[in-house]
Amino acid sequence: MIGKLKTLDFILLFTVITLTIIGILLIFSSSQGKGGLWQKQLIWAVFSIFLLLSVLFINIKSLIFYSPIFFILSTLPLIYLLFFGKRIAGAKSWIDFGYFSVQPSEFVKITTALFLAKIISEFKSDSLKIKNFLIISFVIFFPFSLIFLQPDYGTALTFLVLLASSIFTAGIRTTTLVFIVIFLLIGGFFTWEYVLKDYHKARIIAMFFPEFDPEGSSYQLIQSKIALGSGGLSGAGFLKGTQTKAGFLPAPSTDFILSSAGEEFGFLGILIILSLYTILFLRVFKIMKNIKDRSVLIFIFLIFSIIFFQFLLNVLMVLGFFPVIGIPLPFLSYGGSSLLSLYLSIGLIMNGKLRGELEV
Amino acid sequence: MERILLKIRFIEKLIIIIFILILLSFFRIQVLHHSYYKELSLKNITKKIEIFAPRGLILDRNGKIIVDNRNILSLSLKREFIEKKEEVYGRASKIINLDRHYIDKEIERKKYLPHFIPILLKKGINFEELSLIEARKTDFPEISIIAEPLRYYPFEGIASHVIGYVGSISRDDAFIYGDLNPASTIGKTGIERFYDSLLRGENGWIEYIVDSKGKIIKKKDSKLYKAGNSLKLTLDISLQKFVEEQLEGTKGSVVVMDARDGGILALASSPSFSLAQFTPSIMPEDWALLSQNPDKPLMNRALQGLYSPGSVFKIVLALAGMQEGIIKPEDTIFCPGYINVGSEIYRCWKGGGHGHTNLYRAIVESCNVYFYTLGRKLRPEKIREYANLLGLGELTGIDISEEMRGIIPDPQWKEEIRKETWYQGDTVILSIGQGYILLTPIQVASLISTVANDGIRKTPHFLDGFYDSERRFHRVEWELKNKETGIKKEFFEILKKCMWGVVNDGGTGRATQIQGLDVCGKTGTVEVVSRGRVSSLKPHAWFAGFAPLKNPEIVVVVLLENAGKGGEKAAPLARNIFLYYFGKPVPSTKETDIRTVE
Repeated sequence: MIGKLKTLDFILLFTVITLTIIGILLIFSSSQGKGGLWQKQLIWAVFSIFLLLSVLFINIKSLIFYSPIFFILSTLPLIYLLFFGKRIAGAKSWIDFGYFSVQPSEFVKITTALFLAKIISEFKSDSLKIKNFLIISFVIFFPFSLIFLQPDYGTALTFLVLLASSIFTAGIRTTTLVFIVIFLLIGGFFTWEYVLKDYHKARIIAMFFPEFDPEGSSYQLIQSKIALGSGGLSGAGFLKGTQTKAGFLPAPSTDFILSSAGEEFGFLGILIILSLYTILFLRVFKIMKNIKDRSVLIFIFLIFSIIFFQFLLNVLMVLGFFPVIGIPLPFLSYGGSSLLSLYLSIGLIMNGKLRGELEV
Repeated sequence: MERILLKIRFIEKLIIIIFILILLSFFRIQVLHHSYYKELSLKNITKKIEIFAPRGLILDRNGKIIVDNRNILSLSLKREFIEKKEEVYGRASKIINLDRHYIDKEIERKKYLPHFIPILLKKGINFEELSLIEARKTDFPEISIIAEPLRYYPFEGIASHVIGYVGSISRDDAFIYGDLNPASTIGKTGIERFYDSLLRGENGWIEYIVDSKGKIIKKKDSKLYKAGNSLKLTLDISLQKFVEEQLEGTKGSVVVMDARDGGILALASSPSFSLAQFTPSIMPEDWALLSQNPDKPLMNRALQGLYSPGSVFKIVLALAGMQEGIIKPEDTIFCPGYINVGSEIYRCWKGGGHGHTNLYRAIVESCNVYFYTLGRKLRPEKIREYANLLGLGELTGIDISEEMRGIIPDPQWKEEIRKETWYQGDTVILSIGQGYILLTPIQVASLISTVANDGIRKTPHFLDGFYDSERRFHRVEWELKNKETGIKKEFFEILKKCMWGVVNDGGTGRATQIQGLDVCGKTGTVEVVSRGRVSSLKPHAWFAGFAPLKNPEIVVVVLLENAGKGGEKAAPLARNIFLYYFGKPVPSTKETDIRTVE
């Protein structure tokens, strides 16, 4: 094991840690050092690095093998939350342990990805049959509905991303595709009519017409754009962004942390941050290309797709192309559970590199 | 496996494209549209508060302050406590009287204004209320006390019509004051209105940095206000006060004008009102009392009151007759006490007639027949021409905008306006200033001034000059507006002699006679006509004159509505004014005599 340490992807580790440090700086700036948010995030980061390193000692293949157990165990807290959870910021997403609180749904993403990797790798056919599609859908629908009812739409959405990337990796037949499209149309209609509340609809409408309602949901979008735009090429400077400091920018430490980065560090700062993400994603692809084990490859791809879509949706939200539904920016946004789960994911990807490159 | 790897390679390329597209989007917002968003971010955090400039003061000719500013104290509710308004109201109403309805309207009105603009709870609290609030200051963290300058009148109740009141911009005026803050105080009448732009000054402002909740973080920039210019009037406030006391209890008007330059020394209208009622703003019930009062206290009778001039108008006919060569001063006309015009008989006021009368006696004794005859020879068109030449039936150009024009009738006017033909009788009664003719006291004062100045028309005015914010004095050159009537100077000399006779040679104005002072004048007694009939009301009484005969100093015009004969009612009042002006002892009036007896 120790001998294999030199095969660890240090570039991947470096980009992840750099992004985390930038995140802590931005949290320090947007909270003006108050409330101890940045210290908490720093402590979470240290724990996360330990978690990342310790997960390297477990064989990922056994994790995939036992994934049904992990999957079921990890959804139990969701069921608990649904009945006994306390609402924090309008959603029953958190289990409170006093000094810190944990968001179980962050870890269910990983167990679901492990379980899906196992299921998909065991499919005989190279393309997805309707029966197999229904199996995948059922596995995803279970945690999805529990999280949707909390309600935490941002996290719930990542499960739809899991569905899409599962279908993508499993391959698809034309008949299955037609079935899925009809399935989605009916589901979409049903969701719009009976599930979505008026303020959700308003946010979706505001995405297409941001000037329609400046005091409502699109107010946040406009303030985000103002923060970005006022930053200019080189930014207002660290701790000098008025949009962030005076409270015009909503959620400057979490959902809109990139806007606050854009205000204080300008386009050049954004360029550096986006480049780090690109390096991170391309490193993951480099790993995937050398993986020989099918289930490990599918798992890494699913994990990648979750992180990538969180990143993409957050960036689109910050730019005003996507409604504000509360998706944190991976590694940068404040949030212990999210950070822990991200480092766990990266640890598992590195674990996959250590063990998945071997022939089965 | 191979198929998955192909897909992964495809996604890899897709990610690079997405990265570039995202970068371009950031570039567009952050670099290309930087200035637009920078401006929006500045707008987010800066808020401007206007600081109202105090209006200029108004001084009388001796530098006495007649309109001053005083700080008025207002109670305001801080905006961040607006949700607690019920609670605050409950506590505060125990110690001070608050108008609940008014506060609710204020909150509604200011709903969309920025957070740092407080809600007015009560404007103009008195000292007692202030000390009550101050004593319990810690109990009322939600309430702030704001001081703002407000008009204060040291001579309360005096010269109210001249000064005029101030108020906030009404919806009807809004277009005039387009760029002005709607909360500004503006002059609504009188001097305050006419010289509003001089008095108003320039507002200052303070720019604050605020947070998203509107809380002030720090001061960013400010501009000091520029106080309004202070006006120096020609008015003599002590003479004005004296005149208003003389008028007390009557309906009427007095104009005292400096004959040398046209400056108004005193201008009074009775009944009057107190400007103090209008600060900080007039109560609706007080306004109703003032505006619906049948005696019209808000009307400035000197400028807006329209009256037939009666025999005072004979001055115009005398000048016109001489200038036109129709009469010579020494020629006589026989007055049998009446004349026949068609089937109508027009009487002189003296039953037996004046006999053979020349111009001097005709004016001194106010013979009607002399002027009936002269008027018929002149014809109404000529009468109107001379009246206009002397400034009658026209705006005098006085520096108060509420002035009325009046009417000088002629056949064309009667046809156009009244749709009736002009009768010879109309000319007859016009000749003695009765009938359709309507003038204002200020026009009559201007006429007398023109006579006193041998035909030079001087614009009656209040403003002597103003002090700018650096205390530099700017005098108004009213003399540039002087007009020459073109009537020969010798005719004025003759007329002035006649007017001297009215007062000093047993004429109708003998009640104005003063030992050692050559007062000249003309009286008028105007029958009040309503619906074509002489009403049972007493006639209006006029006295219009000047003093002294040589180098005239002041013009005095007195008009008393429904008081009686000019020589009996208006002339004694004018005498008191001359006495006061020339520093002679003034006898106490009859009324005060009666009061002291009682």
